[in-house]
Amino acid sequence: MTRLRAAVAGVGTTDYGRMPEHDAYDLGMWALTNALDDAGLGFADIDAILVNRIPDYQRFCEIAGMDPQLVNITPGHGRYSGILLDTAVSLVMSGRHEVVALVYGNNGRSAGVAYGGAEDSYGSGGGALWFPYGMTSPGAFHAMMMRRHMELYGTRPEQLAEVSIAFRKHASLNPQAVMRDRFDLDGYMNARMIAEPLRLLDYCLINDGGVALIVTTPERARDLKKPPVYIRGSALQTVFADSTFPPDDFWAGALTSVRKRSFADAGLSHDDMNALMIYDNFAATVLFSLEGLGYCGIGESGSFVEGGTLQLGNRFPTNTSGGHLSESYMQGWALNAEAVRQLRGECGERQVQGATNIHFAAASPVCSSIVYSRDPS
Amino acid sequence: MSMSQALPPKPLPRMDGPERPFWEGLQEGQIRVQHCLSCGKPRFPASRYCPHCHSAESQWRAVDPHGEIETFCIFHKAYFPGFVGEMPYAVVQVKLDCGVRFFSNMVGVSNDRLKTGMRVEAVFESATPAIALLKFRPAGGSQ
Repeated sequence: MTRLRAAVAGVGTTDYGRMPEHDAYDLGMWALTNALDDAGLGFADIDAILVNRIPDYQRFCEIAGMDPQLVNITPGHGRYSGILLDTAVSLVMSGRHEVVALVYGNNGRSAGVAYGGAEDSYGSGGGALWFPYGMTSPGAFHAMMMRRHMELYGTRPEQLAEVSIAFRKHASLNPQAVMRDRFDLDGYMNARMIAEPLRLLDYCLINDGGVALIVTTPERARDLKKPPVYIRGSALQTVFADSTFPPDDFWAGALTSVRKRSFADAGLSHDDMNALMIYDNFAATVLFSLEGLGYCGIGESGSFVEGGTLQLGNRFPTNTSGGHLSESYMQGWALNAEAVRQLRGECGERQVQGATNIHFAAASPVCSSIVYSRDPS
Repeated sequence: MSMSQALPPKPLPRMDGPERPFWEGLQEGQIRVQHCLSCGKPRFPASRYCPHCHSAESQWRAVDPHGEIETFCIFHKAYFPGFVGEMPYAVVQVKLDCGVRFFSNMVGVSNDRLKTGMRVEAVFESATPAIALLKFRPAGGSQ
């Protein structure tokens, strides 16, 4: 067990939607400006910057007029939100950097980014090998997993529907969300199939937007504008062996590992969590995550989510912003921003009353688990 | 005019890539995958080094063409225009008895009869005179 000493001092987000007049640099700048303002810091205070999805780090820093000591750049894969937050914790705990900026900019909607078809590069080395069979898209990869889950455990479409219905309900309370019209089970069942058993409403929303977070030491954070949100646990686990194909265990082994390590460092457990932020590239991923993280037993996520378990007001409000399914697909970043805002009590109609601890996790070939708390370790 | 005549061609495999021995094998009615000459494990897709023992010595050898459906999904969206004529179409994930996996299509089975665990055997289907694809049918050759 390691006592983590890191905190989020600032979060910044842009509008989400279709904004063709902004490229990824602009969206990153917009978000970073807001995050620095949120923290009460300036560009010159940043020691280290880690950029995600923005095409070029040099151009970004040139535009931002900044010369940080450390810079790094990462590909536009959603798993990198967890990876970079974990990296930021290590950087500030090393004592070698005090203010780390994480900046994400995504103009995927205006750029017409396709997640299936001839430009599909998802997965280990990209999927072109399978195009002659019509196999393409991360959605189909997750549809394969959902089908297997249904056959192994009897999980039903009506249970999967609980995920997107809950997140849309939350989005209806979030002015920043792109899709805010609620739907019920009939609305879900009538949505068109994309890669069966996944329907359109099981898919995330491709949009333009940006998110930035400022991570620093607890000491520095306490001197800044907003109350610190402490990162008390953080862990990563990769699953690359044979990852051309979906994992046999729905990533449960890696999720169990990251949950155990991050909870041990935080000194907290499932019962301490007031809300969950679960990476929802597809609704199915939320079910796999709930099992792997131990909120329910393996194969039991379908019955676990029945009756609105994930909805505000119930035991584990999840993706209170609407998540990737209804707020915007900001590849994990906006879920982490939401965790911070919930713990500060800034979420208006969708506020989780008395939120003290929030758990972010992502199930993917790089699994991540982050425990945020209003209270220091 | 039938709809299929108006459709663009389906994507074809890259015959100049590292999996060329596999595609050549299909033309001759065999599933050839890489076998490590050090630890003996089969692998696909191709890689110079064995992921298990890191040996660079390998040989493409035929494997038994039987296996089972691990899972599948059904495409209702035309990511590739060449598939529009057979929508909705199924893609299956097959694990051969040797342990190697493929995404593929079934021949002669309707989508609603697909099941995980179904035993299957290889079918070598011509895509062009020079290129065959690895597809599957229920084992035993019957429906």
